[in-house]
Amino acid sequence: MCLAIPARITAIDPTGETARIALGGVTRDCSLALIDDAAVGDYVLVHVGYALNRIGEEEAQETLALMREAGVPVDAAHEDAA
Amino acid sequence: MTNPAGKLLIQVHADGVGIASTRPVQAARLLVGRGTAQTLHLLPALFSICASAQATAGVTAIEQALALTTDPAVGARRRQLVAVETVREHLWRILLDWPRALSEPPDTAAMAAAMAADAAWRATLTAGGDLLTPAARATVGAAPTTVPARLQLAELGARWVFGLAPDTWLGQVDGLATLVTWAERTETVAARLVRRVLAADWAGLGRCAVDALPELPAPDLERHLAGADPAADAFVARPNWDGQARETSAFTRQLAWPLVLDLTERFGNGLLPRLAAQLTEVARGLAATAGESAPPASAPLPPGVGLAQVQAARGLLVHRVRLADEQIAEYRILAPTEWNFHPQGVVAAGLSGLVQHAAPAELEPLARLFITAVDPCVDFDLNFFTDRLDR
Repeated sequence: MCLAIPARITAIDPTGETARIALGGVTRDCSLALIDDAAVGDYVLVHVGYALNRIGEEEAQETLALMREAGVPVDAAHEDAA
Repeated sequence: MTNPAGKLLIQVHADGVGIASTRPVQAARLLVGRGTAQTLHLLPALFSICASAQATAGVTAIEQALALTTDPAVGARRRQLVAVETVREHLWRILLDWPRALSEPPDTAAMAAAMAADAAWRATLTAGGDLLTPAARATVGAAPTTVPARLQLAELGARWVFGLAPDTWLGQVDGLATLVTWAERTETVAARLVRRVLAADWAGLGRCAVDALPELPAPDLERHLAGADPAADAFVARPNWDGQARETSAFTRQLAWPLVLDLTERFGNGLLPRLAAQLTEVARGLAATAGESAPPASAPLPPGVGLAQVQAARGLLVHRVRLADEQIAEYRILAPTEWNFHPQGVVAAGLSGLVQHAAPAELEPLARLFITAVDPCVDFDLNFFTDRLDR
């Protein structure tokens, strides 16, 4: 029952090590240390502060819609969400 | 603070430990009314941390509900997929969490390489057909050659965890004495942590009297999970067996392995036996002699019902489905974190003892290490409400 939440990368720091991600209406930082070649605009799955892998926007939106349907508060995420 | 994936809220008080959870344990309800194909597409997308275990449990339960027989070769490859996922999840703890206990940075480079090798291994296992569709027999080609992919991850395990080939480690390290010898000769984070735990006399910290979850007879489990009964919802949120909180984890799976058995006789279910169990499970998953676990026995269930029990990375994962007119009429998932982080479970009891015995300055890092050794599948908040920190 372990959810990884899709989030969109909105900015990447100059070192390439961390990204700013948009999750619901909130932004926060996550580590890019476990994936290669992430770019602004990519959707990534985020788990305990790490981006795990890229997924397509359509898949991300589908997963987010499902999570909303399941009552998972993906639009109310606060800064500890990732 | 809201975390969409849910969180464990662990509060340590002078007179006990409280654990609350915001995990969406009823999320499987969204599958009700959907078809089986869509359900099997959604399960790994939703529950992506243990996607192989979730997909395997889902397809196995649906096959049972449809009275379809699982091809033995397909069943074996599904179990291999879950075993590879288990290795990856334990490596996450060892490479990213164990260094924190030594005030070292997480080894993200090693973990990134391990994830790439894990993905390559799983791609080999799934090549040639979709293992995770009901009655997959006809779509799966000949058994793939997985040896090169396994050796790639085994080589990484040798470099970053064991300091020698995983199967050699398994052969050499069979008890406390040989574990000490290995730790003293090896410069990996795992060896350094074992040295530290022994030198600081932490090996038995967190020892408590919570027993391992026994094998669950399907008819008994069915009674707990069936129907729209609120008691079934309560069971998946806070499960117990025979009225007792139980543990299901890498530690309980490896209890009979010589190293873990020897350490358990000395330190009970304390910290060092838990760390050793995680190492053992990684080594066994990577070893050339890795044996396949037996397929779970099936038991008679009501028509249209399927019940799958899968040993996922963090313990027993149960999926229970009831189909009506080829649609999902009921779906429940019982995950290991709910057993292990039960308010009276092994973490609550273990932390209560740990608080009494750990030095105040070490209390918080030790509590974090103990929690990650039991291994929750979500993030956790740990707060102390005890004056032991101030002494």
